[in-house]
Amino acid sequence: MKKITLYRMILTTLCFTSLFSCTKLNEEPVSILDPKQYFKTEADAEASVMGIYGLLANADFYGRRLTMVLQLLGDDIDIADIGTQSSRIQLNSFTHDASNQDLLAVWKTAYLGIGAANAAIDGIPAVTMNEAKKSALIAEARLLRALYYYHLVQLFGDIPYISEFVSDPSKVIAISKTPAAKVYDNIIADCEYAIANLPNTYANNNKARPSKGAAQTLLASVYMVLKKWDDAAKMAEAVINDANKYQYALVKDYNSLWDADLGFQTEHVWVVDFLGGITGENASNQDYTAPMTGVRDADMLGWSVIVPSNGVYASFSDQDYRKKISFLTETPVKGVMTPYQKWKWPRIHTAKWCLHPGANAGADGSDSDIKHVIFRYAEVLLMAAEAINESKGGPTEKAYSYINAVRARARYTPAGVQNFPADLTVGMTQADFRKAVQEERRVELAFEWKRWYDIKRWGQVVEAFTRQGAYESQPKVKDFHALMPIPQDEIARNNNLLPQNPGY
Amino acid sequence: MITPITKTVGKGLLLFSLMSMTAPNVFAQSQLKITGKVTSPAGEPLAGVTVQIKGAKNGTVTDVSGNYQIIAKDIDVLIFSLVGREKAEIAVDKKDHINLVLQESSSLMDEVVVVGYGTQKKSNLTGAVAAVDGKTLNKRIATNPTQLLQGRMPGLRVTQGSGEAGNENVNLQVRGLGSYGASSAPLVIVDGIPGSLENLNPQAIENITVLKDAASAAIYGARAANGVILVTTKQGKSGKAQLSYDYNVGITKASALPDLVYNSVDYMSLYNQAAKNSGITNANSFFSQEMIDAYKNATDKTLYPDFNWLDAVFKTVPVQTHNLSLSGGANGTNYNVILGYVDQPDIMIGTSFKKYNLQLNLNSKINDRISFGSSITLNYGDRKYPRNGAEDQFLSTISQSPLYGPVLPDGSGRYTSRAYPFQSPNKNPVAVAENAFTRLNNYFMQGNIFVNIKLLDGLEWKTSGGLTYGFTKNYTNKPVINQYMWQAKPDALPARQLDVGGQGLEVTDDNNVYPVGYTQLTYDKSFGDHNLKVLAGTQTEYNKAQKLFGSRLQFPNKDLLELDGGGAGQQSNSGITNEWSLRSYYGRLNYDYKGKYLLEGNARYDASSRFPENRKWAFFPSVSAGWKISDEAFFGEQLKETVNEVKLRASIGTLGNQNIGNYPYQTVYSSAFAYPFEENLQQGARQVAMANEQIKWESTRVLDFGFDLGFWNNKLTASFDWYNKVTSDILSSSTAFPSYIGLTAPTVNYGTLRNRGIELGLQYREKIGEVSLTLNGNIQANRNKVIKYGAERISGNTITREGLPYGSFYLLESVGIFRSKEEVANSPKQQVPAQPGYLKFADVDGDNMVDNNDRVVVPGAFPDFDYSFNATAVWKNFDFTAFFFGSQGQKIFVSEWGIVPFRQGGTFTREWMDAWTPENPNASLPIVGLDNSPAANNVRTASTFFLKDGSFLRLKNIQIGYSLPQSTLSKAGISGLRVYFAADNLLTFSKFPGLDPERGVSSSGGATSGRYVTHPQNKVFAFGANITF
Repeated sequence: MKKITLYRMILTTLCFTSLFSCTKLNEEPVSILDPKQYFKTEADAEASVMGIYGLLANADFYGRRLTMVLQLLGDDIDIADIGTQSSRIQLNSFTHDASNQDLLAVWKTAYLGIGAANAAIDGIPAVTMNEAKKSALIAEARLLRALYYYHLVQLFGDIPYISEFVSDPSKVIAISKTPAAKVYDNIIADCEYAIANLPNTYANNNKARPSKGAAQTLLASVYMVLKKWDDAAKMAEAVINDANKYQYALVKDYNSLWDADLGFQTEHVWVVDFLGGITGENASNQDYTAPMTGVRDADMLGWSVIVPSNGVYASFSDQDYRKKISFLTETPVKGVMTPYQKWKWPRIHTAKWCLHPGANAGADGSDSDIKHVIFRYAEVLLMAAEAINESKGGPTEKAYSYINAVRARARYTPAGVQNFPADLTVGMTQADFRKAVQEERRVELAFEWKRWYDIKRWGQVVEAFTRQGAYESQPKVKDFHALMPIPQDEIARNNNLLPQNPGY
Repeated sequence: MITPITKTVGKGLLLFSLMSMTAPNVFAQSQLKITGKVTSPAGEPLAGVTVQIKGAKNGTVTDVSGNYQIIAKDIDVLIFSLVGREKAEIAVDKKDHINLVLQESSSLMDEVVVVGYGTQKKSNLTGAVAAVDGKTLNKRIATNPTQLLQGRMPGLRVTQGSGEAGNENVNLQVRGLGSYGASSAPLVIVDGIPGSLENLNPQAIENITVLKDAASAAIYGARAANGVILVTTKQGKSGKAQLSYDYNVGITKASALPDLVYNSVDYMSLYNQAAKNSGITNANSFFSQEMIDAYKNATDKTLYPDFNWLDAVFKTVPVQTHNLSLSGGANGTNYNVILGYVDQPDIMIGTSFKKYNLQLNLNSKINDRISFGSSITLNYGDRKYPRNGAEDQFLSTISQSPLYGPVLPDGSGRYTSRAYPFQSPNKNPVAVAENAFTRLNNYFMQGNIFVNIKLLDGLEWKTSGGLTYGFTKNYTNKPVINQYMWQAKPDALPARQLDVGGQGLEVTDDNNVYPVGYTQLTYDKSFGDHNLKVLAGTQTEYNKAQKLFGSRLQFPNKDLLELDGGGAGQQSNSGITNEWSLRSYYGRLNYDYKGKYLLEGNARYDASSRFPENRKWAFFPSVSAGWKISDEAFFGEQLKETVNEVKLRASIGTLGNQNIGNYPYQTVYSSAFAYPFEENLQQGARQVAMANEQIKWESTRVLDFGFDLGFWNNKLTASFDWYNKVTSDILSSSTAFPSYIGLTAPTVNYGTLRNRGIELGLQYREKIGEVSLTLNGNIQANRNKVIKYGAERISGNTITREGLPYGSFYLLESVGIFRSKEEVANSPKQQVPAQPGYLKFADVDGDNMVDNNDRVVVPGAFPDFDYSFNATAVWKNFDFTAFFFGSQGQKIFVSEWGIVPFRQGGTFTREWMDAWTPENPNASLPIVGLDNSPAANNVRTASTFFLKDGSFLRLKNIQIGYSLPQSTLSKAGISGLRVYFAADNLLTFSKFPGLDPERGVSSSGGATSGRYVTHPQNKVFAFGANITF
């Protein structure tokens, strides 16, 4: 009896023990996609391109960090709440150094975007699918890559150019910087491929995905930076000539550009789309532009960080409808309309994002529905006008017509059409016209993260901050400030990125 | 009831019969039935005492009441023995009733210690092992048993981060910081299976062992690099059922709180000074004389209070603990069931913890060859806390001023925002506590069974399997709450909404399933003077963790606490699964010659799913040896009377660590990057991190030398260890991977850390008259050093550089206060342009300018040493214990609220009343300023000014107990009743200002640097009673 029990137990235990060996030692990820399952179908190809956008529509890029850096560097934006993070104060006052966390975040996010784009560009060709669709997806990825580099090269100058997906880091871990000129060449090549392969439009007037027109606009903008005026004019006019095809036009009312609930608008050439009420993971789909520019302790619950520089408000003509739309001088505090003098930070604010961040935005306007503008049609017109003036030695009839179209739209108000700003009249010198276009860009595109790149390419960085009557006086600004320092953290990882940009 | 061994053990019975037959003359002697009771010196009954007749093999054991019964002859001698007690021999001498008091054993060396996959006689140990029994642990009262380990075992550093109920944030570290990449937490084994300490009932713990060196821990190779903590739960003992009930109530309050100024007039005048110092000129940003007078001359203190916010948030609360246990055994089956309940309101409002625990242990002998057993732990924790946590509540409290209370004085129940428009305090902490909370329901189940089969003489086969299942449900509630101005009219609009980090309800389900099993053979045999013990086994384990998250935004009211209560318009969800698995083969060989020369070898061969195919498996060997010099002939009997025990130990071995992200070598694409186009989110995917196909095990090599000494027949014992622990190939995120590659850096094997230190444990026992006295002392000192790291990394206030302790302080040196304009002019240029009253920082590099290059490495990242001292005295029915714990040499960098005045306009500690002003140029403290003013920025510069000495010595616990005399109790049918009074954290000696110096370790592993406002430890005055039927 006892023996039987013993054998039974031994047998039972053996059976039980044999269960142990079932454990497999190869755990495959189940909720994250396995590369083996990847790049097989059209849907994979599509998802790989969508994956690039998560870094564009991201709190570290168009949702705050990139746009904030560009605004702070510009002479039209200042900081109201001086208690904000010191990295911002440093950028605004040009006391930043290579350890600036905002610059590092922009750098990292742009390169993550480039990495995602490279993965798509290298992976999609293997997928079996409609060839035209395939090329369009590759073109989309290449244009996104071009956009990331467009920001990097303008901010930092010479930078490492990564042209393909890195599967063996040792090959690139010690590379040196690529000269800016070479980076621009690559951006141009990507734009040209995109122009050849992107569709003219997408369904539902979707402007978040770049069309052929968006690619041409980006390329025009690159040529403007490079002062290739002929090419720039050609490219901008190509967009203008095909505006109907791309469904581009100026909207009637300048004010409607700033209402997030209106969705995609005809004036949008290419936008970064945020969807309110949903907080994405890894900072994707997070937008803080409205509270960053909104009024502290007012009903809109803003944070009063980013405000127009002191001199900017006065520099706009009181007759200009765009002044009323671009600036915020009063807002309800506890239900009572309160002038800016009585706000916690008694400064005039910018009104473009904080007033209508969309129905789904949070109480303070964060996580908005805003479609942040990469390019809008008014800028295309102004680029064309500027490029023609430079390439032809003076304004042509077309150049006048482009700038006057922008001015004419500004005359529209809901209360009726005003006389201001009047059309520019024929007969201006090249220098006068140049000045007029520059001024038009400043007013029309005020606070829209264009100003820093503009004063940079016009060679006005030092002048803008140190001249008598500067909108924002920063006596410390020197020529070297036109380029930002390569992040120290990155140099620590690869010493071959030295030398640092001069001055830092 | 008595259970003679002869009845249950068949063989014994047979033997007894044979003896009886071959020795017929024994019957000539008169047989006696002897009864009696065995107790401890404190009068507690001792169960399980073996009572034997000298020279015979049979005997009996005492039952739970300490009673026994045995048949013997009047010329016999009875031997009473119990592990941990002195053996006693008593001649029967015609007595039929023998009561006996068994003294605690002075020979600790006879104790049996739990080691990996088995037990070992303490005297035969060759590795570095420390142990403590449950009784010692439970001298303190705690809901989380992890807290009780503090100071009990040299080599194990226990840091309790806070006193917060259900979130004590206890950090365990064996012999220093072992890794900065992978986890540096020790492995916890409960009843042979990887488990959880915090989910146990402290009362259910029989004993705890810590395996510190490679030799003792290598058998757990795969997960042992940071030491192993072995927990054994209480088993039932044979005898009649014993029911016992334990009750404890602890009056709990904060161990320390800062002395803050809550006099409104004092507050307003220093605030005005700070505003003036900050260069504020707008008269509307000052408290006007009218406002100050309103408070100064107030007749109605409800409208113009001196409101003490600390009193509103910190309370004295009763913590109650109930334990009901039933244990006993019959016919070879023993059981022990403990039901525990803890009701722990926290000293901070809005926080509470309830713990329900059931421990069920069962073991049974089927016959003399087969035994099996099982233990089951069920635990339910119900924790509620303000959703931003204790620190946020604490800083919000300090950011308030005494000018107003949490709710409006008009009785409307509306929450206050502030008194005057220019004030800008943080969240109203009372409003948060009452509305915006997280509720964490944690369900935990661990069950395991084992079967032990004696295959042959000395050969045993043990198999054990267990399953752990954990489920956590987390509700985070973010309601919309309005805050009003202090004296707002009934129809006034809200001043602002309570910032609770968004709005809506978030619900998260986490579940974790972890099956594990092992099977092993042991062979234990002596060949003459050669003793051999061999163990070989295999273990396999698998873990799957899943998470499901959902949220909705719009809720009609704040009391709807399920997702369906909210509108489906704005909702989001996510889910993830992670898996890993391990398989191992392990073995151990023990050999000794006459118990004098000891040798042990351990080895483990492990495979982890976290590594690529060709690097999955790794081998972790160790070897250790011991020499009992005192057993040598040359040692001499003379010497042995003084030094009765001398043992030398040495060990060396390698341990592994694989506790990192789950898929470091596989290229994975994440789809968590959805991009919105209009109303829809589009599925986007991208590769997130660079995979590293070369990744392998992190390894730790430990060299250990130690000795054990016993004096005067073990009246004084000492155990000493020196160790050198080197962790190399540390698994961490690459610091040499540029971001331009476009992927997050891979996990790589890079870096070496060294921990070197000593541990000393002393015990002294003495009996003076009727007083038995036990003194214990422990000291441990560890030195951490980065051997290989790559380029130095400065992170915040710390630096990691080769040759320094990991994460050392890196700060400007504060060298006093600028007393005059002349001093400013004659000093190096400061970062914030200096003014009289500002702090002065040293220009270390001599360039006449203070900048980041003047930062210096300041020692104090880790303590120089930790120590503890315990005294126990027993006199008649009284018992007394005092336990001191101390830590020396650690510095703590504290910042922000509570230590910096006027953070968010909040109040300040009293010492700031002596801040610098032109009229008070010799003040002890620098100038005060409001947030972001140059004055405040100067003071808040990361410098040694806020680097505080975190050394402390505290009376951790004191307890006095009285056991009612047996004679009184037996009439009431009670077999034991003890009442006691205890106090925790009664006295603290420390230079740390205001708050508790005992606080959490840095999450990065280096120096402790963070906000001042940590939830303090608790001071507890407890009363308890234990009754046994």
